Amino acid sequence: MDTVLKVNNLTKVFNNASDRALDGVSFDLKYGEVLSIIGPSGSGKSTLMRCCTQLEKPSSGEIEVCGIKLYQNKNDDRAALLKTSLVFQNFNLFPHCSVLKNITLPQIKVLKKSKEEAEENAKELLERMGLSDKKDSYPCFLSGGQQQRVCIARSLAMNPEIMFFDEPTSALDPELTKEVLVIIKELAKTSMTMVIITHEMRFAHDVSNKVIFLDKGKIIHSGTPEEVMGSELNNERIRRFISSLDS
Amino acid sequence: MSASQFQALVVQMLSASLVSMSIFFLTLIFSIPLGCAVTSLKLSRSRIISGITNIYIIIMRGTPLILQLLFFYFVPSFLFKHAINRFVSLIIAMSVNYAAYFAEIFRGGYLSIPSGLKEAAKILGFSKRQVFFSISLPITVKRVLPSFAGEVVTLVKDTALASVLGVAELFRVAQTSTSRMFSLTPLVMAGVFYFIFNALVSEFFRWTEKKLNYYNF
Repeated sequence: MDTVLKVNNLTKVFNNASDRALDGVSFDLKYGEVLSIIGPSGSGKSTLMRCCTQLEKPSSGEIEVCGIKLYQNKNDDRAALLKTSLVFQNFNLFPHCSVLKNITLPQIKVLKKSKEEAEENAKELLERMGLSDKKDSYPCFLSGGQQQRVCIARSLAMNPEIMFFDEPTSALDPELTKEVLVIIKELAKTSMTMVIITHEMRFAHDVSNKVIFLDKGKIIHSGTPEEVMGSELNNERIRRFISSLDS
Repeated sequence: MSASQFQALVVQMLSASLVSMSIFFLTLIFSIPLGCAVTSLKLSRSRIISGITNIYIIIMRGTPLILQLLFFYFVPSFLFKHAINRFVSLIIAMSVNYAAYFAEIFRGGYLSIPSGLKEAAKILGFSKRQVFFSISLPITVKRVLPSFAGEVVTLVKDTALASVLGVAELFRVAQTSTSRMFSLTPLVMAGVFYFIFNALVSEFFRWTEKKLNYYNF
């Protein structure tokens, strides 16, 4: 299988910071794989994701998206940008656009699709998300779970190769969390390559092929969900973190 | 006051109010784009550019408009020994002054847009231009509308300051008529005019805000 994401020795130091937000992170991801990144707040999870989606420039190291090396030249970066998509914790839907327009606008502006084509695609996706009746609503009138599903639809409409989820359910209550996780699980079945930052251990265990535990900018453990989260695990740091989530 | 005197006064006041209205509209037409330009200069990454812009804003907002009106009128005659048209200098001074106020209002609105929104657009592949015109601008317009409306209402009243240059706008005509005719009527008429004009301006902004109320943000 093809490697779609390759991260090599990635380091990020923010201005005026003495600590490294990322410190020599390396991993790779094959087509159709689902990777969960877990770890405490401030461990560098989001920074790692932001580097992969070009929101943050790494201090050193390499990232390759579908064989395209990032941060070498603008054209390549742009090509890679269109292969990645990010679903945010706080949705970031365009507040002045209806649900339908949120999904069609990027297709029309960026992919240069016709309005009809974009709308057809959007309606199909909304049906998949169970939101057909909300197409003319504005984001402010939707629940958090609905907003997040629109956000996922908006990302999918761009046909990305890799979907990144940055704590997609952290702003949601348990019921809404469930409806979003169901959607992500459905996506996993379609062989969508995904990277997910989450604190939902059960979900991470069920949905992913790979898990990375990040702490203070370093990968301190990686492997299959069983290897990283299994009960026989002898890593004290990870055990402490996981048990704190259960309580 | 005889009927013919009153009639003459009304005609005079009406033509003066046209002058006031043209000061108002011309200032708006020039100061809004100028304000946008000042906003972008102030947001410039170059410290020198944003520093100079800031000095301009501090001076414009820190000194009386009436002083600026005189200054813009007299400076050319001192520098070039050549008098400038009063009305032209008036519109320049008013526009340059209001641009400073508008710029700060626009900047506040622009900076209040959460960065996540722009990041979302960027990740979806929007160019910087597209992010600005499709996302930032419409949201900024909605956010700045209330404070912008307040400033425009002030502008209606500030047109009266043009009297200091002897421009025959409504306030000046009312003032001279009052002393000439020894009657309060011209002042009351002027007051009623400003009041009605501002009521219309407020109504316009109320309507616009309502139009943009289809979403909350």
